[in-house]
Amino acid sequence: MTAMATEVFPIQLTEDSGTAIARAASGDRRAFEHVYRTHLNHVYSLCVRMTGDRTRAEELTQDVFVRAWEKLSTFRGESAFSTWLHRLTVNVVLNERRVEGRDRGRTVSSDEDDEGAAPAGSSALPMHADKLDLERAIAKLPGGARRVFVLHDVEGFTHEEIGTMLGVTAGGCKAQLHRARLLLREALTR
Amino acid sequence: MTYDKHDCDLMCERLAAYIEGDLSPAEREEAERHLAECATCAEALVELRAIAGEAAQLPLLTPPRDLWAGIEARIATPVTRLEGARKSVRRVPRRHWQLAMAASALIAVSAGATYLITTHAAATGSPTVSVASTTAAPRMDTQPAPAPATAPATAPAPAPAPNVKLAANTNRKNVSATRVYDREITLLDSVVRTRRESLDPKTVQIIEQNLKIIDRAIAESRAALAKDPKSPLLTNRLDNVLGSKVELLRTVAFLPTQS
Repeated sequence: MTAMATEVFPIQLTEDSGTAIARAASGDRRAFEHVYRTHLNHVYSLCVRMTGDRTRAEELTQDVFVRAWEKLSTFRGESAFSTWLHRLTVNVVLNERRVEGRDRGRTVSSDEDDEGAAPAGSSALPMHADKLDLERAIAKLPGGARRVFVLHDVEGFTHEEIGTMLGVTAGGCKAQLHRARLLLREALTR
Repeated sequence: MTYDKHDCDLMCERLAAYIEGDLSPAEREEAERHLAECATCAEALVELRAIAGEAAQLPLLTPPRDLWAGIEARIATPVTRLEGARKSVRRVPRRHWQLAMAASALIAVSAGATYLITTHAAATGSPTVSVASTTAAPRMDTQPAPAPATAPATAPAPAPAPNVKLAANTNRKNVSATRVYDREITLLDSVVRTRRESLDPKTVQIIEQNLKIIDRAIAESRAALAKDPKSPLLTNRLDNVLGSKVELLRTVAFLPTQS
């Protein structure tokens, strides 16, 4: 991942991350750029997979880092910075979805809200074909099932954590996960 | 033992609980017997587990373009000039009473605005609305956001999910929010006017250009909203541009004095 990132955006990633975070928290934009480049691919990957749309994911990735800049002073180091940023990313993506739902004048619990979004793997990716197939299939999942699948199977959140984030029960989360896996199996064996 | 389609459908439904370890011992034993004797369901189990395993090992993705320029533009403060700021540091102690007055006024304004909004929200049962969203300014292409050093310490949290039942209150709430914005802008504007002479003329020029852009956006948003008063998109847009103006005025109020 790092090799890929440095290939696209050459930068010296030599500064200690903790130092960069502390300097960024005090308003140092160069240090924050270092933080951005260190965590960019994590944030972007999560945004792509949560939304199934690369263009939206780029916008959301920018939103996440602007939000991180604004809230950096509240990071107390009680968890790893990557965990803090990960949570922030999920919150930004989910909040953006709620705002979109509100702007469209409908409820936010719709599972089919972004079904059929552009496939995440629509552009050439340097990865194995099987994984590319899986990326595409994830992007085509119904929104609710996709979010639960990404948060659980890709990102490793527990059902309880996902339930809290999405406002559903752990049981509902498990049902969505199973549905997502069945749909993926169907898509990949078609 | 042979299993018919109905048995396999039931097994398929149970696979989730089986994978999660949520079955009782008796149910688990029954499921394992089925899986040992039914190749179709056993294959489904293997494939579902493989999907979960593959998902956990998906590689990270890289955006096709560098996103930093857009982020930097949004987090940068457009009106702070480094050379002016460095020289002005020496002058700050001599004019500290001015900054103290500005700070007091801002605290009073912010506290008043917060009080108005929270009391209104309590009275109507509607959720609290943000007065000066720190994410509002970055949405404007021509108006990057102020640096966080000047942002309020109590920046509002992301808006809660909307409740459909509260939709009827939206108009009233937004009218009130707009009034609060207007009141805060008026008060901040008076603070900024008193500081105008003490600021770098070039900085003042940039501020005025930015304010013109924002005022034009406010006027356009108000005009559009007058035609479609119930549009949440237009309401949100107006809130954002009003928030941008509050942020800019607040930033100006705390700018260092010219040397």
